[in-house]
Amino acid sequence: MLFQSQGFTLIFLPLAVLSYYAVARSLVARQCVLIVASLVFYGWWDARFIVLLVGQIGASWLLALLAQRTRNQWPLYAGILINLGSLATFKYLDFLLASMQTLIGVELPRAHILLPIGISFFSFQLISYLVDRLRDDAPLYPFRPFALFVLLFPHLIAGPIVRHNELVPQFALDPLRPGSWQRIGTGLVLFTIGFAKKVLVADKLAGLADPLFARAGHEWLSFGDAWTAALAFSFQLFLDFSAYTEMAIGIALLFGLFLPENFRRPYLSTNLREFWRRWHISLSNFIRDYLYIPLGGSRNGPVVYVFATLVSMAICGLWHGAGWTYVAWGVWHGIGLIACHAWQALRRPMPAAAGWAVTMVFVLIGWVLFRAADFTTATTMLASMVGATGWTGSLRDVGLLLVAAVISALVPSAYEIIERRPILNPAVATAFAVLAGFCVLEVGRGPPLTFIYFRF
Amino acid sequence: MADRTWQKGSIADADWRRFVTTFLAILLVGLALLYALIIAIDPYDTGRYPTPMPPGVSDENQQTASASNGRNPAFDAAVFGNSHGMLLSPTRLTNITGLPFVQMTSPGSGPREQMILMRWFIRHHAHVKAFVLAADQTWCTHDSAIPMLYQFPPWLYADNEFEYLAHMLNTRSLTAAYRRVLVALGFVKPTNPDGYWDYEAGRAWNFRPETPKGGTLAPILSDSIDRSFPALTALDEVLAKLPADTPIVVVMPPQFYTLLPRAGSPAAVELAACKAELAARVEARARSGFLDYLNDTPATRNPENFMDWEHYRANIARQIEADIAAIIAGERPRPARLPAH
Repeated sequence: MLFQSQGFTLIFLPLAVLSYYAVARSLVARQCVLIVASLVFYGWWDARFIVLLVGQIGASWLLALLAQRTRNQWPLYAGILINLGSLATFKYLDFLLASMQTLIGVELPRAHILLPIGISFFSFQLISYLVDRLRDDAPLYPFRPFALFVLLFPHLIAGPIVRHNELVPQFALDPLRPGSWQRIGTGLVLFTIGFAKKVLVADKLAGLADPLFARAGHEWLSFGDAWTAALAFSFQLFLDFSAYTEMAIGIALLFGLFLPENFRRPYLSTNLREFWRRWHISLSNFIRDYLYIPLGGSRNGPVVYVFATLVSMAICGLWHGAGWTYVAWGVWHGIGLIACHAWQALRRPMPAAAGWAVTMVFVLIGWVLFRAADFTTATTMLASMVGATGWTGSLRDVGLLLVAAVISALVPSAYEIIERRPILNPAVATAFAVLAGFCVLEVGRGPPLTFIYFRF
Repeated sequence: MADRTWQKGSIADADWRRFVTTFLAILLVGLALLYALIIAIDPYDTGRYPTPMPPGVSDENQQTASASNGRNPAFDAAVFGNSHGMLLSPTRLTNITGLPFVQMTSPGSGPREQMILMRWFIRHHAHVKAFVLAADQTWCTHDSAIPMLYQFPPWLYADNEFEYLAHMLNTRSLTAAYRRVLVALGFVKPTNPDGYWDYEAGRAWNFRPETPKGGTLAPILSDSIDRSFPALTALDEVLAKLPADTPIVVVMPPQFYTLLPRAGSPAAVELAACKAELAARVEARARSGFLDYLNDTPATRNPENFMDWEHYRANIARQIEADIAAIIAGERPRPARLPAH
């Protein structure tokens, strides 16, 4: 079920919220409502994958319990391996087989396993919990809140990636505690903003970028078309994913729960390190805490730093998709972060405008790699962007690109809205209601486009 | 953390409650009113619920306009198919046969979509006077799922009211409802209710096939000979709903000869088998028959007979109309022949 579909907005979400508040005084009942709602939400795509999801949650919890009972750490390692194994099988098996085939030159069979939606997100959350147990940095939660920490439908499919200690303690809080109307009101505002960004802008940008990237797979593009595709996808990706995050944070607020921040207007960054502090923050934190620092981080000399950065970012790339273009995108950013770090060590700061321009061009090139179906498409696109086919053509749909740029720069992030003192008057409420209503009507036109990050 | 700040009550909870109730009231009441308005106006003239609107729509899209045209009591004979049957004129067929024809073809459609339109037409006509199907090679598919070939609104023609209602709350229906109001007020002219659109009109003819295209029909047909045609089995169920005395004419429309499978190839054998199956469905009925124009003939070798590889021109359409009329008039089916020029 998609957040922006009519089935979700007009039926599923109101039913879930009403059921939740009908039993709000009972901790067990309201947790059960959320668990059932989350299973229905997930099963809507393919009920078969509920078995995998519940299986991974159950196995992880049982192994954590076993580790505690036996005072031994091997069940925790086993749990980590089970989650990694599931991810490797369902997401990377065919990629590994194809890569091996290229390497050894022998045709290998393919598994053609259907990718369970959101597997990267829930597997990472389970791994992070088990690693925290290994570090003695997490309690053994009762099963119900533990399961809900992973299952909670607002973040289940595409994040934000939540750490157990950010969410589990909130389940015990009374949703009717003071501030409930403010949480619900802010949730509605965030949901509406995300809804509008997705339906009215991001999906329109997809209509601009998708055919051009498809064309680049088999022919050269004009200079103008190549830049149109690169810019359209850059804005689409941000607006699509940040819209999802805003809707997720907004939905969680309707249940009185806070999810962590994921974006802070990343296209205003003046250097690449800042970009990664503003872009997909929950993933950046995860990579930092569970990969980069364990690999040595920046405090063990330059060689370790370079190694840790490149490996962390390559894995970050691979997490996004089973393809070498994603790995290349991760390494590209790893190199950029190392260069940025080195430049900052010189203590000769670039003027903000120049820093912003360099960062954006760097990020844009990265997005071409990220979006392209293969290296041929990426090369064609990048070569066309530097005039390999001449300097012909002009930007298409400049109006839409400008609107996207303005929204990317000016619309506050979810937590900027949460922390801001709002203007509460009937005109603002009416404006948001009309915007939400228009989005409901607009999305009813046809099958809604899925969010880009559902693939990861 | 925001939650703690909020709990101190920097803004009164009552203000937030007013904000939430205003938001929800306007959203829910607004959507409910719009929805009720859309259903009452019946934007596509489906006749599902009572409406104060006069019959007819202003809709250039055959996929949706057929909802109105297909239930128009003024027509009780119809032509089905896709763009390969589109140039058959209902006015001319009406004039020659004396039966009031409507065009129910839907461009880009395959057997599944066409059968949906057939069921819609049959449901709204107690006694169908004549039934013409321009069946191209898509009817010879081996895919038992009979997938839709193009964007098509099956919900508009669904028997299930819920399926229809679930697809009506959107800006497209709202725009269609607005146009229907404009038609009712006389500000906009309704589209031709016989569903005819002449694809030659206003277009320059420029078909110059220098390089043979070849093989377009082949993907539908298989390399090894497969005589199962699930779309034809499904067609039986639709035809069974027609009165026993309704004439049925199945036409296999002509296409430029280079698209045909090579003579003697498995695909050619399959195509012949498919044609035989189609013919078998109508040969026993009175005033019914199968007209096969999809052959390598002087007519299909002449580029002047075509707008493009697949779409014939008016002179061909006129001959097909005459042949259809002859069969409906009770003449013995004869080998379909087209003028070479």
